[in-house]
Amino acid sequence: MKERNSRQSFLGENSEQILEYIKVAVVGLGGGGSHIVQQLAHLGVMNFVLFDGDTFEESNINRLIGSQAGDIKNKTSKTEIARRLVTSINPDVKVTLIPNDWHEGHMELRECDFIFTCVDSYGERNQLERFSRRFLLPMIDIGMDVYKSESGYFISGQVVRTLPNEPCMWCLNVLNEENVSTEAQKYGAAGGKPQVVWSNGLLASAAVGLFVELVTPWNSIEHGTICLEYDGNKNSLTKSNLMSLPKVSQKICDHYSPLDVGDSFFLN
Amino acid sequence: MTFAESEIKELSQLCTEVEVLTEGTLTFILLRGLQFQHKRELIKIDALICPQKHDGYPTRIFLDRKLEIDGTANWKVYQFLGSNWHSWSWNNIPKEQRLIQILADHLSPLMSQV
Amino acid sequence: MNTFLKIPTLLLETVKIDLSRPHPFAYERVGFLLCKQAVTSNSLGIFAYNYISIPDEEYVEDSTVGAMIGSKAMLRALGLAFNEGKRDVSIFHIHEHFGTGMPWFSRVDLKESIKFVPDFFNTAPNVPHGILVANEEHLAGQIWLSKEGAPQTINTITSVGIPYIISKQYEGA
Repeated sequence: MKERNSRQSFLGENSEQILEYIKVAVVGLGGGGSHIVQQLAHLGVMNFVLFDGDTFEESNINRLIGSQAGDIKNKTSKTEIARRLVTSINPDVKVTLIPNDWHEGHMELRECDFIFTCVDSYGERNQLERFSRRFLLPMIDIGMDVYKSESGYFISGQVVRTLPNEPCMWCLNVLNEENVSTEAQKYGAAGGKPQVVWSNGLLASAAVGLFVELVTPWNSIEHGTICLEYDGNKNSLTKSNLMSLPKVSQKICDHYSPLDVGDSFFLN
Repeated sequence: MTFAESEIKELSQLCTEVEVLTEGTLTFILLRGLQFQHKRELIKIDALICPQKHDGYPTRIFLDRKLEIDGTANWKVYQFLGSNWHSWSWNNIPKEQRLIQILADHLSPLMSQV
Repeated sequence: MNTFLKIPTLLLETVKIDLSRPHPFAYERVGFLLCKQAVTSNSLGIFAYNYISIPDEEYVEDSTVGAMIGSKAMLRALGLAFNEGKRDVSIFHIHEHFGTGMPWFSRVDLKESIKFVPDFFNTAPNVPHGILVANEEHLAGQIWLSKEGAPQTINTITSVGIPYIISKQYEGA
């Protein structure tokens, strides 16, 4: 084992090779995705496919890991910031950048082994989960929200890991007709939602932990699909009560068929 | 979701091939080589009819590429069946009608382009 | 061409349970994995979605090989590749070896597969077919991209689920 990984040898005998070989996609390189990318690089992940069509703006600097003051003036792309970040940790990493909507790079995404989705849209989450089911990709999604009520501000978030043939985000009610439809009826970019670095960091760290426990043998896992809920006011990250839903605990998904895999138009 | 053979036959007169495909809880009718007039040109395009609720639309159609529409069209790209498909904002086409009518109602803003 | 195959772990477990059942006279069992395909930016991907077990009575007694299946089983496999005329299903013959580490095919496995895998192209000529071997830890496979072509080793096979296992063939393996 390389010296750089010596402090994480407990992850397993072949963990170094697994992390070096596995190809990880991160869709969305903002507040959540930038944390994830940084941690994966430190862990020893060597193959990245990074998606984000946005350019860095001043309002991003409060939370985008790896960003620098000069990026504001230079209007650096978020993919370039991520590339700079991971290569500064490990110059030997292979990084494929898709500075575009992920649909433009869906052929690259098909080839990945794992996908982190750090998008700010239910619609995109829905599509990415559909994609991950079709191409047998384990998926981890993170999201946070700040909302205001009469009694003050509330921070919440979730980390969801879903696997093919196990309950999906619809089973967990993370996606539902209401939130998907309501969002779809609002045209234009979601943008401008409150976001803070510490919540993103906590969620991203939990997401990376869920990734490592799946791909390395260090921890025994009961459920492939898992949902963790974050309460930023109570400072807690706990397994969601939704995990107790009968279909979830029995590992049944009735939203996706295991028969729907591969490219339906392969022969065309 | 099943469809009457007569409805599939009607659609097949407008394109080279009709196929019913499913993905998760969604059912699509694939129309390969659908032909219609757009901006004074006869175009050939692959299309998906989605005859059930999706993203708050009672029905929708998706095309294999974007087409020019005067005015605000709000094109969006979706991934279904392993491919990218494009749709625009044209809502309130009910599902309680024949498939060919659903198709015609959705295509009307495209076909009226000059 | 770089190739990879992904199989849901739950499906692989179903396969292994079936293959580990004793047979009245065959030394080992075999089955067929049904798969779909996708081209990626740099590779060809194969995605397993279903498994077909061979009933006891469809084996043929032959002491020179571990398992021999009869024409009825083969016809069924060909019918599945035909898939109601769509001809879009890839068939992968699969069996099991004992042991750990990276498995590989016996000489007999390789010799026999050259005889029957090309037949899958008679019903599904435009999709790849092949063979797989599993052991306690890993999977290995060969893929035919055409009826006439020589088989090539599948570069990576991943069991997606719990446990999540990547079986990577290295150059020269």
